[in-house]
Amino acid sequence: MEVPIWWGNAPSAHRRSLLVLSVAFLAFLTGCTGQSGGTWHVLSTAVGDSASAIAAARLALGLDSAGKLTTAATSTALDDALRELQASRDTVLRLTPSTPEDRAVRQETLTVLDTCAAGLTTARDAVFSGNGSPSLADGDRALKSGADSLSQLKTKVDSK
Amino acid sequence: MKRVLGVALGILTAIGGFVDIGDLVTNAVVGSRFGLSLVWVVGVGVLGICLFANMSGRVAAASGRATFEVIRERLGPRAGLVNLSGSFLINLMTVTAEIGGIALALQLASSVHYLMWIPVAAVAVWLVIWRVKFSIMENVTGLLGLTLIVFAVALFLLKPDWGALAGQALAAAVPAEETASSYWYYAIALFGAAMTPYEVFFFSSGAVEEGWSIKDLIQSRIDVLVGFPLGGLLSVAIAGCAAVVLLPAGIAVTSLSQIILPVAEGAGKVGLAFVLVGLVAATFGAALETTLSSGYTLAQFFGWSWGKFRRPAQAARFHLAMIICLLIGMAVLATGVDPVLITEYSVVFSAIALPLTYLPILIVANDPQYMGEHVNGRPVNVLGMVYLVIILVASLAAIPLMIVTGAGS
Amino acid sequence: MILGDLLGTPVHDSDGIRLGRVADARFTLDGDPQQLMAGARLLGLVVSPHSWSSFLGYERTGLTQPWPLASLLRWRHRGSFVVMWDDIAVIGEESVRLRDGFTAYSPALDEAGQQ
Repeated sequence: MEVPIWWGNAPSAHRRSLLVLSVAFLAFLTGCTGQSGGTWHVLSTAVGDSASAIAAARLALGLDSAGKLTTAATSTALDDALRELQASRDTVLRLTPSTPEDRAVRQETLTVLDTCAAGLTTARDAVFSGNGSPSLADGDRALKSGADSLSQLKTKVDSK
Repeated sequence: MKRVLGVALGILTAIGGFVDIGDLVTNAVVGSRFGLSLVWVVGVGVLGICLFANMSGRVAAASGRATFEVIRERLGPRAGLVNLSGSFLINLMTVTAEIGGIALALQLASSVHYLMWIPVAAVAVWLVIWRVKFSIMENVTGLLGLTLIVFAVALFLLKPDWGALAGQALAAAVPAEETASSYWYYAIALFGAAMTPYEVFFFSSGAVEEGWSIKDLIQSRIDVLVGFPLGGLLSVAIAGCAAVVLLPAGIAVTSLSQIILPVAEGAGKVGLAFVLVGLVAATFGAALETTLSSGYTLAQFFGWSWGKFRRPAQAARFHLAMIICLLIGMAVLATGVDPVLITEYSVVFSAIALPLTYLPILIVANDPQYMGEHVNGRPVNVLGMVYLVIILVASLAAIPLMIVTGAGS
Repeated sequence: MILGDLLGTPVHDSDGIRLGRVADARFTLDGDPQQLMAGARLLGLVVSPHSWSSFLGYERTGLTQPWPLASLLRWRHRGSFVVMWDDIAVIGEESVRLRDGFTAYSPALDEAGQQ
């Protein structure tokens, strides 16, 4: 019988101190990431993720209007974009800003994200509507205006 | 002639079987965020999996024992149990990710929400494991998975700037908008995706299932040494598509629907049809392999009778264990947790758990009592030790990097 | 007491000098015939002066591959030996004491897998 390695019953001070050290190390690392999670950092991440989602939605819509994507795939892509946008919005809602300036920029972010969500629903309606109202071009216009306000907001948030 | 056909079939299934949800997601995420600057990791991973599969296949053929029988013998019951728990949990996570992947692929094809597809996918996996012969199961999913070559075709049709791509690949550097710690975190994820341990459990157990002898080793060696690198090229094509289309558009991949957009752009609806078939086949094949692997690891460790070559009634605990694993996977997915997220974690945890299975196999592959004259040669041992160091470093660095980068976000 | 509890227990000789810890147990299959094979009989204990972590099988053979892993494991277990069951005086919760004049056998097995 070949028996164990580091799993016996005998208590060992050496092993215990190793355990304490590794827990302390992990706590230290967690602390490092915790500090970077301020209001502006969360906003920057949320705006960046939303911009990526809207870009994916625009690409999918463009491929759909070029006849390169099926309705099922396009609508799935739009749903995924909406889900990512909502996840970003949730992180913004959980913020508790302390200064008036932080509160104002959070408000602005929420407004922009809502515009984007509205753009995504227009795009989805366009994909499913048989009569061209709203048309795919309407959907793309709505998404483009969302993307533009996101990129302006991103510059503002990142300059901070 | 039959022999040549056998080798060709083996190579094709190895290519098709190489790519699973982990490779798909990780390569696309990396391509969309880091371009081709991490492509060297795929090379390191592919060489590693060739080495590992070669050793465990040789152990299985020479001694008739699969990986977890060896692990239990070398580590003893208690350390072996710790090892089993780690490997098994990560395998279970991979089962969950693969079933989620099947469901997501079916959603892309049908627009029916993926949660509706999960029970269908799980039952289909169970039925195939229960009823279909091992070799048929392997070959059909492997060959259908080959349709993922459409990623390579699409990459050509996209007419990228090859010089720029080669530049990204050769002068590996961290892109300006990413941090060095995310770069290395994703390096570990890619390594874990290429060297997923289940491939090795499955490979060595499959060797026992198919009753390999030393004579079959040559064929298996060709299959692995040709098939896995070509599978690796397929991974690079997935990353390349993402690097050409998604990276410039500012899309960081978070869902399966984004992974297929470059294929649609390059190859249109025909390409889309191929990629959807490939996605379903690759994830389905991997779901079969991981589910069987969880049955294999448990049965081999506890000494139950196992194997698809036995009738289910004769390997009842083996089959029951797999049913339970599928049910657990379904339950996890039913909570609505994103399968893509599970995948991203599963590849990193695969890298963390890799030393647990790699080390015993490396040692046993050197033991003449098991292997007779088929012990590792000198070059294999040198490479084996180099990889032991790489695997240990990746495993130890993974958790600190995961915490520092917030899992790569 | 189960055998597993014995692992890691310090080993002393009859004068109370510490020799190491119990790293493993050695069995032989020469007991009464049973269904599949003969019953296992405890032959003795493997004592290692420096570390009682797993030998990963290296104590049983003269294997030196793969370098440097084999050398590293050998080095951690340098000076380890097997004591026969008959040479053990007391097995306690805290320590194992050997008889006066015990024989320290090499932990290696011969070609046929015999002690």
